[in-house]
Amino acid sequence: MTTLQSTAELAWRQLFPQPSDEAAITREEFIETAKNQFAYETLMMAWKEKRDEGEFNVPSYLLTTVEKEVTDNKIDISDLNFLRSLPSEVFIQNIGGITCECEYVKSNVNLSQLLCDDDSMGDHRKPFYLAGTSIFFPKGTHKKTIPILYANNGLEMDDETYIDDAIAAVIREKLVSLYGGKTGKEDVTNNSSSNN
Amino acid sequence: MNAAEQRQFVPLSKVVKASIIDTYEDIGKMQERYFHWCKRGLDELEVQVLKHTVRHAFLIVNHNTNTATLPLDFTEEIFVGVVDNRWMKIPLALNSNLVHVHSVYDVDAEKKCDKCGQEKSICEDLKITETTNLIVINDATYEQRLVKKLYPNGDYYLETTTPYLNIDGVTIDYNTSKEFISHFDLKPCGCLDTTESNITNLQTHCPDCYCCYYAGCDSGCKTDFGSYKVFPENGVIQFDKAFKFDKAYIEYRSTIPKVNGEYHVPKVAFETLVEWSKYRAVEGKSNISNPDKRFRKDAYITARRNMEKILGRFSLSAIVDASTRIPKFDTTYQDWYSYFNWDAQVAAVTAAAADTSTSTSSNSSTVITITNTVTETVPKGRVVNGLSLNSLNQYFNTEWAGWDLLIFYNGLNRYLLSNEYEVFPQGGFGLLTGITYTSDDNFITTTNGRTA
Repeated sequence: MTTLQSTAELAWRQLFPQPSDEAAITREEFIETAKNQFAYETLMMAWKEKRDEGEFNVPSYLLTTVEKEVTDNKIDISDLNFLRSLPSEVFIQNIGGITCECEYVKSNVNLSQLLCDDDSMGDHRKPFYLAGTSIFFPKGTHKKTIPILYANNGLEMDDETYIDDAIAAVIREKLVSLYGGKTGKEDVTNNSSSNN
Repeated sequence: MNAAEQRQFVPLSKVVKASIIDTYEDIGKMQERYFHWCKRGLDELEVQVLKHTVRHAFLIVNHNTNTATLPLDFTEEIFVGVVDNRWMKIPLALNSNLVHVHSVYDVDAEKKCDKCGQEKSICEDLKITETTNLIVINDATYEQRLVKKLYPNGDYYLETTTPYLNIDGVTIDYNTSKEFISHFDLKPCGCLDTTESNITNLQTHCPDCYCCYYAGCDSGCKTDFGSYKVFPENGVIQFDKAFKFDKAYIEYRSTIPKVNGEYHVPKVAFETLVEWSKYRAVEGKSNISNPDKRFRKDAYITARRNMEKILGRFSLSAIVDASTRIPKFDTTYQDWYSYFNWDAQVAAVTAAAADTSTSTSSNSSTVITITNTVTETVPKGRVVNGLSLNSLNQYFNTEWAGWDLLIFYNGLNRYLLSNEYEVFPQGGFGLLTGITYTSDDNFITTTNGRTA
């Protein structure tokens, strides 16, 4: 495992071995581009796997479990680092635990309105849907505290985003191809100033 | 799938999960939709193919209102009654006149006359009493209205409005005729006076009104168990006052059963519903080609046909059992019993000597006379008057040799013996092929002899 930042810096040094302060592309922009590329590559990975294998399973190393308290039939998830680039909001893998009792079924705003009076799921399944930074339970919950299993985006407490090495390689190559034709001004002096 | 497996139920969630597995979909993405489709598929199968579940329940009766709440899955009742202490069910009669008063809303109206205090509804009922008959004119149907009207002066008329074809304008016109029925005495306020002549006129011309307002109550003792009426729109069953039991027993057709709060489906319909869900998942999508949709639909139709084959199966033991129960019909049986004039024969036997028997025979005909040798009912194989059937056989071989048919009558039953020595109770046999019979009052003549 490596970090997104180190991957971006690796690509930066590969493109600009002697960068000056007047480089048209800053290191910060490079890192931001790397973040965007990481999200895009994750999506591509999911689609490719779905196309080749017929299904996509969220990589297990991305899965994280957290217990959250239900207040007024909703849970605040603003502090969770979801990998939102995954399609169809599969970053929410499970709510309520892997069990055959008290299941929570993922829905969306559209379906919740269409099926609000539908009882096909029986009495012990309750729907939920995401809206913004909250998860809503239109038909309530069974308990006050509910576990959530989700795919995280790798951002850790130290602001380092840890990513898979293979993904990192793909991101690095992409950055190089994006910025390969752009050369920044080099510092050709041998004084201590990077600004010539 | 055997009969026991056919009666099993599986949760609807299993069908949903099987559909998701088959389509390699994410459960979070498709679970709710698949539940919805599966339930719709199950509703359709229940109406078209699957037999409705018959359930049995005891309903607790609220004696304040004499009602009981119907089960949530109630669709139609099959039997309503009570169960006695011998575990036997006793039916209740359906009484369509019962009303669930708690679901009836009141309409405010002035009910009594301000001056005499009589119920205004009496005059209202008398004023207009309308019936209609249908009349067909030129293949079109029109109504003939018969209205009984009470006029303010007390005259009671029958007004008949009859449609007729007006040939001048080729239109349908209506002709109203009035026929005087009777006269009612009215009070100064216009209400019906309770006089003897009025009561008599009401009984004659307006029996409904008489029964509603003037007839005495039935004080007879009711000994029946009561009656009921079902109000499915309100979810209650109403019993009449005669129903005194705490519990009512009901057999009813139910909707799809919910077990522990979850819908269950017959196991025999499992694969059909899975294919149905997979078909519904692609049917409405514009990015799926028509051949792919058709493929999914064909898979559903195939699964459904397989299910219907299983549902239509009978076990071999059931077929064998049914074949042993049907009566053995003799296709060549001729109901020659009807040729006999039995009453005349009875008279002849009674008047004749007890053991008289004569016979003449020829190659082409045999005359048979009735004897009353048999003096008791003769089931097959029993001894008759000291004679066993084998002894009777001897008679056939000796004295009655060449006879095709012999009739015994003992005053109660008529038995026919063929020369195969079988005793047949009346009306229950046949097979004497090639023989025709004629009869007069006393004799039966056979022709054409018996063929082997």
